[in-house]
Amino acid sequence: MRSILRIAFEGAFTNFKRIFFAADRVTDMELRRQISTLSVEVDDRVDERACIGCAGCANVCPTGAIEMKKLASPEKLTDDWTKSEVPEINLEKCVVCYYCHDFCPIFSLYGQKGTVHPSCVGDQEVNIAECLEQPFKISDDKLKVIAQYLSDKTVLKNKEEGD
Amino acid sequence: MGIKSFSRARAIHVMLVYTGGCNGCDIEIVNSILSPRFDAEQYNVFLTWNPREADVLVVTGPVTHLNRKPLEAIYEAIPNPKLVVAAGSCALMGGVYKNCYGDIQSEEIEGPVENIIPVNAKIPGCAVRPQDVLAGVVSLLPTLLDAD
Repeated sequence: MRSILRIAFEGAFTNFKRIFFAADRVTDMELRRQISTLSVEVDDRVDERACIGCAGCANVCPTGAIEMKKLASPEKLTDDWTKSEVPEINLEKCVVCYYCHDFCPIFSLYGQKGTVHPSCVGDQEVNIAECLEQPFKISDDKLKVIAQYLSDKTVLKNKEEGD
Repeated sequence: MGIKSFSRARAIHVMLVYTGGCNGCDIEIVNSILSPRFDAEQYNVFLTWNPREADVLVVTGPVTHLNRKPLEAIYEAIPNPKLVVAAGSCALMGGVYKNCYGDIQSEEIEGPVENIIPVNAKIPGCAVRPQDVLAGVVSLLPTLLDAD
């Protein structure tokens, strides 16, 4: 009899918490608010502040979904490099292969979070001025591959034609 | 508000059609409608397998030869007003199946979905993210509710 009462009281207490304090709720309330006001925000795919504008992602994209758009005011990052354009992903062409994300030098060389991501770039603070000054080691053959992709837009296209 | 739109606003039925592809998008769409985190059922959006009952047709996958006729038949069977959502990069542009010389030849692929039936909304992603699915479905709701 006592155990039955205990079970009943525990159940009543759990339900009380659920009803009045929304305990163990897993619904995404932020999304619910956005939907009820018909203002669902699409996540950013490109972190324009952390980007250095090298156009490597646009060159490496196998479907040609990334285009570089010109910045209104070019930004001088170091003595010999000025950031004049940032990538823009055309999501209708993207196959989410993550080549752009993996190729981004901020990610692959400096180990920071990548500045371009096909689903959601996320919140991050990347100090590019600090990154660019920091020394890093890179093997010669990797450097060759990167230089080839960075300078030549037709690498992937030639590969296709060779098949 | 007529009785039709009154009742439709309280039960919007989504029909999910798979036309090839890898099933990743199907899992995410079912997840966004049934799982407690996203839970589209709280907005009176339900999943159905009956085209006569459906209002929104969600198509995933590149359309293969075998799936073209069934897809057209399903589209014809849905009563007006009907909306079509193409979900995932396969449905938008062929994805990893078209022009990639894999196991399924490009000649087998009839897609993207736009070539076969008119598409009202496109959801990008591989696989689609539940947030994007809900954004796409919600952006269509006013069109559906103002239909008559």
